[in-house]
Amino acid sequence: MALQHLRDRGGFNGDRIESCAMPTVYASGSDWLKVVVEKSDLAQGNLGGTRIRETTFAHTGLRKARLRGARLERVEFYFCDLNEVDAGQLIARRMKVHGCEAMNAVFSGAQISVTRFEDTKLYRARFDGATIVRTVFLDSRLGAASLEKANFSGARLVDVSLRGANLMGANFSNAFLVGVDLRDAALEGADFTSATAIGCQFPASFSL
Amino acid sequence: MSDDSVRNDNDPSAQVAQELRARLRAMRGDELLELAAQLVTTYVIEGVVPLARAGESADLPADPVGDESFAQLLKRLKTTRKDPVLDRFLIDGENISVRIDGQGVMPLTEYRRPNQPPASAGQPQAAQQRRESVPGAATSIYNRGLYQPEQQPLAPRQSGAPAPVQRAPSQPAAPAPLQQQKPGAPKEEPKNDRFSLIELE
Repeated sequence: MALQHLRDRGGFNGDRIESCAMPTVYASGSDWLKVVVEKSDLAQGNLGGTRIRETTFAHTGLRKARLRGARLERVEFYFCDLNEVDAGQLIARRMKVHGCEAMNAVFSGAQISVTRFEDTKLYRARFDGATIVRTVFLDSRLGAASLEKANFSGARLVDVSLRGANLMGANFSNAFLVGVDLRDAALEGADFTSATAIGCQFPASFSL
Repeated sequence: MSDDSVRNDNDPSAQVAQELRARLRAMRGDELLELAAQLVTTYVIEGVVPLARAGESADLPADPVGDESFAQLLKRLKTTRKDPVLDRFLIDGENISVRIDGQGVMPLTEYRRPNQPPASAGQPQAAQQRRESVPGAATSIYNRGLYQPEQQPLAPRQSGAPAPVQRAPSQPAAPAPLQQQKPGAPKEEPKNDRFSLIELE
């Protein structure tokens, strides 16, 4: 029924999708507005180029889903499986990612602003070449955001809080960091080769 | 040459600015454009407070614009912009009027009673349904908060009538009626309160 709705209307508007198994769904280029997706399976779905606004995904599987080039505005992900999601070239504003797993997720070349990653595992996540503005990475359970071996190479980070984050083995080579809060972050093995840091706050024992 | 004309390269702020310029110069045009657009949108257009000034709270900044009614939107525009056209609008709560030269003040929104008048016993059901389907302020997304949830019709629905759509429980619950029926008490016929409403008006 949800798939028929998607085909007929080219998206969802004010709908509630609950307990729907739609793996490998093809929703590329569709328009989602004020949708609630709960306890559903969208794993390996193609949401590339999708416009998603004021939408909530809760307890939803998006593993290996394709969000390449999607435009997300006021979208919230709660306790979703975002592992290996392909969100390259994503444009996201006012996004909230809470309690999710986004390990090996790809945000390469994405534009992310006014966003909050909270209690989200971002082990080996790729933010290379991304532009990240006014974004908070926070993990209240572990005391630090888990960004171990995350890749920020060539990324532009402006007004970003990575305070206390676990950035062991992270890659910041050629990154451009302005006003980034890295206080109390674990930076053992992090690579800052050719990175530019302006107005950033680093751990006391760390020097570029 | 005086000492004032000599640039002090040891000034930390000057060094930061120089470093920033050097880095921005090295960026590609599209990257620079993208970054500038994002910064202007975030901090200038949306007026988001930087994290350093946001204090300990790391929550997303409030975004009240999406929740405001049309009257609130007009009120906000009137306060932020001095515009002779906007000045003609008079906002009183959720009621909007406009001042027209030679005609005085004309109300734009219909009279808003806090509660829908109860359905009278003699009123046909079809007429009530037609009234509900007419697009108006009561069904407008901007005025949801002003109206109580619509009462369920007393008469049973016709077989072909669509099922009522359940709304999210975001609206406040309707206040208990003054004359609360006790369970088991004989049900009174709803009174026609047309005259009492006329008195009120």
